[in-house]
Parts: sequence; C-alpha cells; structure tokens
Amino acid sequence: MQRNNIVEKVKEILISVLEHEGFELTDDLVAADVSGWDSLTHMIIISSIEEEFKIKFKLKDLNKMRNIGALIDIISSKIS
Amino acid sequence: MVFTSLNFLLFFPAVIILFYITPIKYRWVTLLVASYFFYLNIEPVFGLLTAIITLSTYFFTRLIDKVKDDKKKSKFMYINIAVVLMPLFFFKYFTAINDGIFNILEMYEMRWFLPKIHFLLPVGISFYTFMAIGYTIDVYNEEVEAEKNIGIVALFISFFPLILSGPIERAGNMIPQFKSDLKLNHTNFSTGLKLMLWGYFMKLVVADRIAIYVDAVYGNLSHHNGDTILLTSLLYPIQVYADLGGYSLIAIGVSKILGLNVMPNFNRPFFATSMAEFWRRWHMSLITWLTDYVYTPLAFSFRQYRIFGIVLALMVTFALSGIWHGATLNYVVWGLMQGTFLSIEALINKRKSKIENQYGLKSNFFYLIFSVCLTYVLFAVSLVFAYDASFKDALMVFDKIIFKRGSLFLDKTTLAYAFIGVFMLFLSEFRDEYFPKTLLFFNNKVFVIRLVSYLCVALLILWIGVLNGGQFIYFKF
Amino acid sequence: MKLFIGKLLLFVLLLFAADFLSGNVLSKYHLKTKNINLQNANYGFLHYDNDDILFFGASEVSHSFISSMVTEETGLSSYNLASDGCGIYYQYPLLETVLEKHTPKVILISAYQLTLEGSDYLTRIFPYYKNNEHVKQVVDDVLPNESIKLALKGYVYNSQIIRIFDGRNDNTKGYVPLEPRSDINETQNLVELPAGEVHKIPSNIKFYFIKFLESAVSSGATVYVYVPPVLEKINIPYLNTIKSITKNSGAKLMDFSTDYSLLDRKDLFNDKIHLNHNGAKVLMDKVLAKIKNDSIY
Repeated sequence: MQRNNIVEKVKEILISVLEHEGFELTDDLVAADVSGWDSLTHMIIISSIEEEFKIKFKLKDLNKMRNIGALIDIISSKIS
Repeated sequence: MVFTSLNFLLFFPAVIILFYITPIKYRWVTLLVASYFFYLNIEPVFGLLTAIITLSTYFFTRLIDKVKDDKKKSKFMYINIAVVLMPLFFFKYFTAINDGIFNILEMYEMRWFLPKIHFLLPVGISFYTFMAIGYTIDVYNEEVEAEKNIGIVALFISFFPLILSGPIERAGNMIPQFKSDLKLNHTNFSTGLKLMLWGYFMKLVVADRIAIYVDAVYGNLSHHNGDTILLTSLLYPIQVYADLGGYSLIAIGVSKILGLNVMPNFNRPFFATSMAEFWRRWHMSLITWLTDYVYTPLAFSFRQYRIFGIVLALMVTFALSGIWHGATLNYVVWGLMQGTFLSIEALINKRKSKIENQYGLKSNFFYLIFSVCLTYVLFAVSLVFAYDASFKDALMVFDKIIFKRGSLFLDKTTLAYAFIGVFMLFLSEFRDEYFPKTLLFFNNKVFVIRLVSYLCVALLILWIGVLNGGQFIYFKF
Repeated sequence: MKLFIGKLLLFVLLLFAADFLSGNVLSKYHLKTKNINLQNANYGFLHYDNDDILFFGASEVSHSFISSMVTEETGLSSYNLASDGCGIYYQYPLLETVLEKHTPKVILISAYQLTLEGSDYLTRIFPYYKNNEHVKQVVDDVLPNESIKLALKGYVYNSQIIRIFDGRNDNTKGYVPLEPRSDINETQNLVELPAGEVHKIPSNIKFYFIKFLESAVSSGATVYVYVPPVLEKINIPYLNTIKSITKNSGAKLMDFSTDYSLLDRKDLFNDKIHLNHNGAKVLMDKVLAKIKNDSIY
C-alpha cells in the first residue's frame, strides 16, 4: 500500500473518532496539538487503525509513535 | 532532614561548596555521597533499602540489555519489579494487612492477645520504588540504555532533592544529566533560588497554616458542626496543593541550583475546567508515571472493548493510585472516585463539546468560572477520603455537612494568616494562567523590583510562616 | 557569577536589615498592644509588681477568674495572668519571673489539658527570650534549635502580628468575660474515656508542672491546683495523676470536674469548656469560700 493511501485512511479514522477536522496531517503532527486527542481517545484510534489495516500493534510500538510520521512508518512496516 | 528543617539550611550550602570544589568529572560522586548522607540522617537503616533496590535494578537492567531473547528480557523485568516492590509491600501494607486481620478477629471476639507489630515506614519509599520500576521498564522497552556505572544508578535512585517526595523522575531525563558536565552557573542558581523561595512560601505560609485549622476540625469531627466542616473540606485541597506543590518547587529549585532540570509537578491545578484537565495539572510526575506504566498497558490490552476498556483501565489505574497513597479503604474510595469522574467525562465528552460549541460557552466567562468551581468541588469531595481518618469519619463529614448545620468555628488569626497566603498564591497563579508575562515580580526586568519582591516574600515567611518544624504530610506515602 | 554572588549578598544583607528594623518597630507595638493575651504576658513578664492572688492557666482560667471580685471580697490585690492556649512551658517561667519580685499569698494553676503538647504557644514568650533567664532556659530545653532562629527579629514575633494590632480593650486585671449563649447542647455525664483513648501527660510537661508546684509551694504561698468544670467526658486516670501530683507537692486541689451545681446549668457556659460571665461569678463565690476556709483572709 502506498504511503499516501495510509495517510488518507489514518486521516479518515481520526476524523471519525475525534469528530472534527481541525488539524493538518503532517509527519510532525503530535497528539498534543490535536484537540480531543488525549490518552483516552488514543487507544480508540489505535484499535480503529488495527481494524482498518488488519494489523496488531505491540505495546512497544505504542511508545515509538512519537508523531504522525512515526505512526505511518510503523503501520507500513506492519503491512508489508 | 526535611527541606523545612534548620539542618537542611546548613546542609545545602555545604553541598554546594563541596560540589563546587570537586573536579567536574567527579561531581556526581559528591551528589551521591550527599544523597546518602541526607537519607541516612533520617534513619540509618533506610539506606539499606535504597542500596538493595539499586543493586537489584542495576543487575537486572544490565541483564535485560545483554540477553537477546525477548521472553528472557521480560522475565528479568518482572523479577526486578517484584524485588523492588517487596520492601514497599512489606513496610507499607504489612501493618495494614496485619491490623485488618486483627480487626476481623476482634469482630468475632476471637482476638488473641498477640503483640501488634508496627514498622516505621521508610520515608520516600513509594517515590524511589516507582523511579526504579520506571527505569527497569524503560530499559526493557529500549527507551533508555541500561546504565553501566552503578554509581549513577545509585544516584538516580537516591538523589536527595527527589528522594522524599518526588517529583517521580525518569531515567531518560536524569541519567544523561548526571553523566554530563555538572556546572554551577548564575542563571540556574538564581532560577533555583526563586523556585525555592516560592516553594517555602507555599509550604510554610499557605499549607502549614491551613493545616492548623484543618487538623483542629478534622481531628475532632464529632465536636464540629456542618458549616465548619464544609469550610474545612473546601480549604483542604489548597493545603494539599500548597504542601506537595511547595515541596516539589523546593526540590526542583534545589536540583536547578546544582544544574539539573527536573520535571514540573503541578501546573496551576485549580484553574482546570474539567477533571481530565485537572489530572493533567495535578501531581503530574505521578500521573504521567501511572499513564505510561499502568494505564497504557492496561488500556492497550483492553482495547477491543473500546470505551469500556478505557473505563476499566482508568478505574484500575486510579484504584492503584489510591492504594499507593495508603493501604486503607478510604484511599481506594478516593481513587475509584477519580476513576469514576474521569470515566463519566470520557463518556459525555463529545456531547459536552457539541453543546459548548453550539452556545459558544468556551469563551463565556461565567461558564468558565462554573467549570473551574465544579472541578474544584468534585476534587474537594474526593479529598475528604484522603485525610488520614477512618471511613466512618469520612461519612460523618458528609452527614454533618448536609444535616448538622451551625455557626462557623472561626479561628480568626489562623484564617487571617491563611487568607494572606492563599490570596497571594492565587493572585500569582491567576496572572500566570490568564496574563502570562505581565505584572512580573520575581522575573521583572528591573532589578530593584525583583529585589523588593524577594525581600517581601522572605519577610512574610519569617513573619507569618509556620516555622516550628511541622511534619510534611506527603512523606508517609 | 561574581555579579550574581554580589547580588545574593546584597539580598541577604537587606533581609537582615529589614528584619532588624521591622523587628524593632514590632517590639514597640508589642509593648503597647491592646490584645488581652499579649497584655497579660507583658504584665506578667515585665510589669508585675506585687499582686497577692494570682491565677495561672489558659483560656479556662482567663474567662473564669474575676480578679476584681477577688479584690473586693478579700481586700487583697489580684491578677489573672492566664493567656489563651498557653501551657506549662509558658506558666513556669512566668511564675519564676513573678517570684523574683514578690511572694504572693495565693497561687492558683489550672491542670486542664496537660495531655496536649503546648509548644506552639512558646512563641508568646519569644519576645522575652533575650532578657529573661527563665524563659531562655525553658525554650532552650524544649526546642534546642530556637536559639539560632531567634537571632532573627521576625521570628521572635512570628505569627503574632495580627494579635499585636488586634486590640480589644476589655482587660480588667487579666479577666476576660464571655457572653452567655443559648445553643449549648453538650452534656457532661460521668462517662470515662473509651478504652484505647488514653491521654497521658507527656513526661516533659509533667516535669515542668511538678517544677511549677515545687517552686510555688516553697515560696511560701498557698498553692491551688484547679480542675475546671467542663462539659466533656472525664479522663479518670488523668485526674488521678493530677491528684497524686498535687498531694505530693503540698498543693491543694480545687476540683470542679464533677461539681454538678455548675455542670447541670448550661446557662453558665459559653461553650463546653468555658464559663460565661454569670458562670464565672458563681465559680468565684465557690473559690472565695474555699480560700476563706483556708483562712487566707
């Protein structure tokens, strides 16, 4: 899957979980800058991503998700 | 030796001088020696505990680093967590469990007259235990490398500004700093002194003064009426904040003077407009610790249950946080209340923000005040359970507030002194929250204004601070 | 760094100077204060002259012993030296200071709540620390570190500023009347403290209490140990200790803790511990009768 496609799908998931579009999905974006993305919604976003891409994260992966760029990288490494 | 003791005021300058005359390469050794001196001074045998925790943590983190097999890594991690937790369980919960069993036996009149054993709780144990556990998990997660110098690990676990009551620091922040060139410089020195001065103000002028009133009322509940108890319950959160918040500031300031940056512990918690925000501002080092090492793994393993998995993880995390504070029913109730508040917020959050957006409430002044007050009151209600009293006493508080009104017990001088302190504290926080970088005193550009501000605060501490060595209530956790 | 150290030294210097100046101003006002408790302390520690019937204790004494009534009845001058919340660490050096000037005929000391460590109220004798040997001795003994802290004038008057400027001027020879109140619902019944609630007298307090009685008795005065009427449970072991200490020292006991002619009349109380002005009058009649009985006058 193309990186662009992953980004697009992640964006859809974020919009559906957070119920707003008030963010620009760049590689440097971090959760703290997105309204409503806190430690509670984070886990829902994670499990939504798992369902969408049919992958399973490990706890260790979570610690490595410093920003959107890192998240996308982890997803793409899981798919391939 | 507590920060508010006369001994500390002699100890700390001595440490600074020793630190200064030691060659830069060995300054961490000076800090390590000073830290053990500081801790042994409280009770020599406690040093054994930090030593055991250090040895075990050093040994197992190195093993985790060395072995390749992930199963072995996790096994070593769990073994070390178990070893590190043992003293905490023994000292903190043995007495509670012991008493619990005795009470049950007594209820059925089966009590044998065996002697009750009570151990002195090693102060600070809850804090450095958590720091050691955090470090172990970080090494396992490859967040940090296992430190090869056992002296640095020992310093991380026993570092004297943090050992008694935090902030609960992380190896990832502290260890690289301990290994870097430690230098005294005037910016750090003056920033540190400012933090200390304000910390002492919060602790001595605000917290200890309110404590006199709170202890007089809560310590004698049956003699006081509902109105008095209501006032006390509303004052108590400020006391707890000024107590731990002030003490944390002193710890951060002391570290800063030595050139070490320690994470902040509070961020004006009483300006939070929701419980979720409150917990991002209150005892931050504990709450981020719990988030990283307890809540996240739990929520992660419950993630298929979606929002209910999160609620479950929250409840378990806060129940654990309650038990960390004390092995009593009261603290469990306190923790579960926090979990409940946060869960309810999580469940209604979306609806709430829709309404807020629809009516433009977020910029409405009265709505803001209402939210701030509601958050404060909710926390105050939960804190009734966090005072060192029995569950029955906590229930009596609510019973009296609701049903047994009466005229206020006004210890006028105590409340007047407390008011001066609280007023100054809140005014300063109000400025920082809504008008940052305006009307500065400690950080004003004009030297004379700075100097006069320091003098005023120092004199106020001298005049109306509670200076007869009151005990710091957070140590026992 | 050098500039910074210079600034730091300047701050410390100014702090000491400000402390010294403000301390001197405070000490002036402390001497002129209209606050009843501080006035009583000033009177006892500095201005006492030759009163013959003296009352020592905390609030349970200051609101109950009408010195002017004593003088009217006996013809002897009298002063109520009690001060709210002050324990034996305050009373003992006060007695020694008084005895240096004059030997009174009657010394009465309250034995209420000796179970409480009253070190908080040591602050009230700090202003006399420098010039009064007895005060210095007690403070140094009870809180050894204070001598260093007391170098700062601000510490001498710590937590007293409001009191110094809070003037009530109803001081009649140390007695402060309290208003009657209608909403008292406590009762005193002879219930012992629940098992487990053992309030013992801390050894240091006991030491100074005994020392007080010994000094008072050996001065030649008639010494009374007063147990006030209070609407509280009775701590029998405590009472027994007080009785035996009193007996051994040669003092006389004035025990009102089970005097139901007082305890059954709630109209005499202001709260469960303090008598109001009417109660004080009834109590004084009883006290005077006892003193007369002992042929003091």
